[in-house]
Amino acid sequence: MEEPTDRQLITRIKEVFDEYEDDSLDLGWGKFREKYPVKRPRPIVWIWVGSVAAALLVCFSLWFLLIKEFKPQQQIAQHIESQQNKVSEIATPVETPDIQKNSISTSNAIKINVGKAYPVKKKIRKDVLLTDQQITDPKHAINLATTSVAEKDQLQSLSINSQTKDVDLQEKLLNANQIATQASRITPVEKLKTPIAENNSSFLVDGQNNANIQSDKKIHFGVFAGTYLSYAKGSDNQFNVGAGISSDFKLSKNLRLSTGLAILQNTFNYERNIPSATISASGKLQMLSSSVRSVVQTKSYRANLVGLDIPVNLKYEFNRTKNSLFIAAGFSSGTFINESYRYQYGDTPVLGFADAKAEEKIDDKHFDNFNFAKTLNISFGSGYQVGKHNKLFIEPFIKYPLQGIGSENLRFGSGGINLRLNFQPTAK
Amino acid sequence: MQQQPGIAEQALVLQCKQGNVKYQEKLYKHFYGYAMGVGLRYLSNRDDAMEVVNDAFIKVFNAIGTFDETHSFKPWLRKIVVNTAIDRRRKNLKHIGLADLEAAEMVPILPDAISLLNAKDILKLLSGLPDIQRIIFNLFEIDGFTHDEIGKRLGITESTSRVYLSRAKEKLRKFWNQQPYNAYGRTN
Repeated sequence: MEEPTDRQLITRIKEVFDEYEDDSLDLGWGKFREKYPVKRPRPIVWIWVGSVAAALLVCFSLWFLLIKEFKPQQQIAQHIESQQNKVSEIATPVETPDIQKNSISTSNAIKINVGKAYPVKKKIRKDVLLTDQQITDPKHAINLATTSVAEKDQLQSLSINSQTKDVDLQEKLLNANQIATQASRITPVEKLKTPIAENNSSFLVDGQNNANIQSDKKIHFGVFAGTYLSYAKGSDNQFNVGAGISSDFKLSKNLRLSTGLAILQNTFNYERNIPSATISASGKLQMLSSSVRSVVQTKSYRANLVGLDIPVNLKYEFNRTKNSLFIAAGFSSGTFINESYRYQYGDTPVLGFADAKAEEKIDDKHFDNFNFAKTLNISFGSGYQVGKHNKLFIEPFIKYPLQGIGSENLRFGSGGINLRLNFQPTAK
Repeated sequence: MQQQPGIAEQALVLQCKQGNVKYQEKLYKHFYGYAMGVGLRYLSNRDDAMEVVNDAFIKVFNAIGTFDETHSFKPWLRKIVVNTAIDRRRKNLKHIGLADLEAAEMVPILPDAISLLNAKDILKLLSGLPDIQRIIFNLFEIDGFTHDEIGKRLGITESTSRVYLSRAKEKLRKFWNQQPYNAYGRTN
């Protein structure tokens, strides 16, 4: 039969040992670590640096291989040269409609130009007189000594007609010469416009079509920089900056695989709604305080994260020729080069057992973990030609967190604008 | 207002699940006192109790992936410590002799002094019990095991477990009914 003292004793034992603290904490921890040593993490830094370096090496190797297989510049130059040769063989009067309309036989023009006056040295009958023009025109030069008046009249009528024709011919000759002069001043490229445009448009070399050639290439490389707003629940929104390199791999006509490497900064400041992970970070102080019956509260929490971001996105280009409008979506993985956490906490007294005090704890980490595909990327943009071979993209984007990342498992996203410059070195 | 321990516990367990070494230390130091209290109730020797606690924590960290962090961590930890302590004492349970009873230290306690007992006094009280009675008393009265579970755990029958419990309580009653206390209700 149980007596009241039994229940009192049992209750007291439960009370005492539910809150029991032992002095041998440090000794116990030391012995525990001897039995259960820390498993050294793999050198994550070198693994990922090596992976990134290998990826870049593969990209450059592919680029060099592809640049050898597909040489549009050389092919265009060869085609231009062949077309120039053709142009030089074509008579310039043929090239313009005006020349064609007023076409005269070259043989006639040449002959007229070189026509010389042949003075008639034969005896001339007084009753027959001819003008100098008539005399200088070999075409109509006649041995007047032997002709009759009728013939003279006939000749005069013919000469009048020929004079008229001569004037017309000379005018036409002058026009033809002027046109030929203009044609000779036309560059070979412009001369090619009409015939080549009719036959093969892919070899046009103006700036607009150079963009086509650029977008047809299988790999694009570029650099980008951006500014964005980092947001997290409970934190003040703060502006941050980032920059990096990018590469686009052509999958199909309008589809590309976009990846790269970026360094991004994210800063957060919590004055309220501090994440639970940070509360546990001050748990040690909570344990120390529990023995003196006080309460630890995390008053403020600041995080400064500098991360390596590796995005892998699919990009769809709507109009490659005009403004390169595109939309992209994918995931980001990465690690943090530096994680800096600053806690400010206060030891609040309860029932007068301890004095209030505020202290600060700083926690710095480097390459602590790797976050695989924990951020969703969505962006769109438009491109603008800059110079002959470069293209500038304006790309608004959003990074949405799928899970918490970092050693404190913070869940945050960002939204902003990137300026991306895609470039293509000129072929030597 | 005291910080909700549930949130801190859950966060600690979550981090330990991810293999965060720093949070393993935090978890260990947060629950070390509680685990030692359990170990000391079952084992007289302090070094043995510490060893049992460390073995228990090794089991905890190895199996923490299977633990549901939405549940309270203490009962799970307590169960592991108790089992580890019993495994350690199992070989000694067969050797129960009158010598244990005779060597028991008489700690007279007045009924009013029970509420003033501290951990040291309680441990002194429990050390006066034979091992098997001490274990069964702790298992049944403090840690909430049934006689059926105790019988299976210790390899004894349910009735035997009840007998040992009864004897343990009787002995404890003798302790606090014997000699009067000093003015502060404690032994000198």
